[in-house]
Amino acid sequence: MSLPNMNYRFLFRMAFVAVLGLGFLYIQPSKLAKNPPLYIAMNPEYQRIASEQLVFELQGSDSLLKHPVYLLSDEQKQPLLYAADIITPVCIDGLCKPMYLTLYWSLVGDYVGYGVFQDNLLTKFDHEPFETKDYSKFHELLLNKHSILERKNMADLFDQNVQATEKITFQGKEVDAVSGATKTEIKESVVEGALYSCFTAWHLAHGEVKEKIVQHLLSLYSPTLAQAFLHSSYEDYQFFALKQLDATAFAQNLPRIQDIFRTASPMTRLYILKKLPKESWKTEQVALPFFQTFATTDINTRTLLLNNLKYSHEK
Amino acid sequence: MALIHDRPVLGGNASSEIRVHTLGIYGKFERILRMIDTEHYPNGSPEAQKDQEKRDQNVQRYKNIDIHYNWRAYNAVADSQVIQYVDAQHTSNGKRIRFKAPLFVDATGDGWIGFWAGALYSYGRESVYKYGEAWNEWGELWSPEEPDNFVMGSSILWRTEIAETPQSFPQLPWAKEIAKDHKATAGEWYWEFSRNDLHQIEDGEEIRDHLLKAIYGSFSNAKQVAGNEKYQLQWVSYLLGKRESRRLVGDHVFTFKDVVNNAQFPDSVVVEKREIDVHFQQNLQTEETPDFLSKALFYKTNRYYIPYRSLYSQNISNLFMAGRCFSCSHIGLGGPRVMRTTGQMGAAVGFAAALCHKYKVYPRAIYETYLQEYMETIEKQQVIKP
Ligand SMILES: Cc1cc2nc3c(=O)[nH]c(=O)nc-3n(C[C@H](O)[C@H](O)[C@H](O)COP(=O)(O)OP(=O)(O)OC[C@H]3O[C@@H](n4cnc5c(N)ncnc54)[C@H](O)[C@@H]3O)c2cc1C
Repeated sequence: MSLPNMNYRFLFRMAFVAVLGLGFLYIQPSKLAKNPPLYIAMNPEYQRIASEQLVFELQGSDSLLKHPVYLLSDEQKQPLLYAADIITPVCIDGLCKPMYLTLYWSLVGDYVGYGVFQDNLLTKFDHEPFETKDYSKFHELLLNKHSILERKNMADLFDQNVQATEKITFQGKEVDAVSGATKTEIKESVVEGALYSCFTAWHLAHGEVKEKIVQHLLSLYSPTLAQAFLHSSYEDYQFFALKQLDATAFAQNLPRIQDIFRTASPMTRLYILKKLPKESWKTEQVALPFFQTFATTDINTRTLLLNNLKYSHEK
Repeated sequence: MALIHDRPVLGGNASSEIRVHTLGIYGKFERILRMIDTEHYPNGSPEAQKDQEKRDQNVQRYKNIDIHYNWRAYNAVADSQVIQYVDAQHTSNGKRIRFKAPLFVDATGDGWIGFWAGALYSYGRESVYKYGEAWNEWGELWSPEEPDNFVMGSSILWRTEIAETPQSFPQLPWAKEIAKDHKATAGEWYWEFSRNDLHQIEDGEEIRDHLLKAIYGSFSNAKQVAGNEKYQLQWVSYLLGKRESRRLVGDHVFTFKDVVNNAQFPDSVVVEKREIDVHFQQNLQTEETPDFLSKALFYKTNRYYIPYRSLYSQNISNLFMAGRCFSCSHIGLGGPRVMRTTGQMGAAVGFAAALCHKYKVYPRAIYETYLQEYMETIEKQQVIKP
């Protein structure tokens, strides 16, 4: 099996004792450190990591295990990413085996990448190792915030009710999102033969962790970080920064906000237009750059621009 | 009892005209709801016809239900906050009837009766702060800081089939402006349209036409692609299926918090366990996506309960509501808008109306004075085998 190049930034060693068969796992980590990512959507940030700091623990769905989450920072101690070494049981019918991986998140708590433990690579349920394409598919699945796995319980995946399933996939086509996924849809989104690992990993990479990371980030949110976010090229960072600005700060940062307005998605544009204090529409250098986008912007934004027209002239 | 209905068949979105399958649980009303719900066929399936016959036959069996098929209500007049009458007109012969009654139920989906009578209502997305409905996972897409006019959109379901032989389909220049280069050989629930300058009721026809152009245009585009020769359109609904518009305000406004807290009420008459799903238009996130496609955000839940107080108007004394125009917030509608749940509302309202009739009182009195008898009546329903 060939894997993409791995450059080891950190040394890691992991000793563990696993007790299988009882539906749980006992693990004793000897030294924690991050495994370099196999796939990462934020490599420039990853490359600048100089230190790590344990910040909180993630409680997986298996309450016996807690996963330590680290904040990774640069030389100047500016935060870059979050990461966690995960050792978790993947169980079917009470039969469990451990899965090892390191998950990486952006500073706003979105999954961005994962790494593997060299001694314990990912396997499928029949103990076959992941193939190269499986590793990339795994990353793709974890990147999808809207994955069909989001609204599934482990129990749903065992669904023995074949009849109901057949009705849902009636002629292999029309299915309602609110009625649950087809087996095909689940099958297409996960690594073949590794449904339970995929399920377990997806639910660790999303959900509870997002809330916790945002909470933690807010606890260290400084003016420096606020500026870095506002000037970041990532739209979710820009959005996070916009959300933290109060009305005065909004006005002070207008040039940058107008820049963001020109390049961001409609959702962010609408947010800016709603948040901009009504009285600021009276000032030409505030209002004009927004109105100048009218001809090229999307129709929802246009509607809000038109609605704001009434604020931009004195009565 | 007079049932005024502007279509030739009963069922609204579940009817054979719109063909959405019913989801949700039966709660205490399995006996009643089994008479009118559907099997779990795919949305848009011709199987809807079978359940349509079942539904119409079952309702017609009741001697005390006077069904007025093809009569559209167009006005409701209240005096001192009490509706005196509802006016309706036949949709083809134009005749008019004035319906006078002591009690009215607004089950129009769009909250028409309440609207005409002057009932309090809401439309659009509330500010996240109004009822504390934040879910950080999805932020503004879920519930905005500032209220706005975005609501879940309306849909037109459609269906294709693969024929034995190649089928021709014309190029449709008139659909290009909407479909652009999008290609599709199948419809789904997420063919859905909502925009902040369009009102789901007032602009319903524009929304319908937009979706028809999207469907015919995208299918026509797909037909130009090699491999699709045998596809043909089998069915396209001519009616809009709506999800959200006016919500009438009751004594209790059902919100996300009631779901998250699994709040139980002394007057819990509806129960559901289905996840909340709230839709948004894909092009808000990704501008290039066609404007007629949506996505759903799912919030998994335990059981949650809707109190009777969300099923009658706060300011119109003799008005009940059942269906998606019940008293709720935008996010509150996300879970219980499905049709077995809305069906539970209808059943709960029916039993309350019977008690109102018995004691010659208005809906609020059932909660204030006759709650025990009401809840016992409902409890008994549960043990009656369908
Ligand atoms: C594409 C789509 C997919 C969906 N998926 C599901 C799903 O899978 N399962 C599910 O359970 N739910 C689903 N829903 C949601 C569900 O269909 C609606 O929330 C539900 O139908 C609302 O019920 P209602 O009785 O309030 O309104 P409706 O079903 O719209 O019924 C209202 C009825 O009142 C009639 N009416 C309106 N005004 C008047 C008037 N003035 N006079 C006389 N009659 C009038 C209408 O013709 C209609 O028949 C979906 C909706 C859509 C559009």
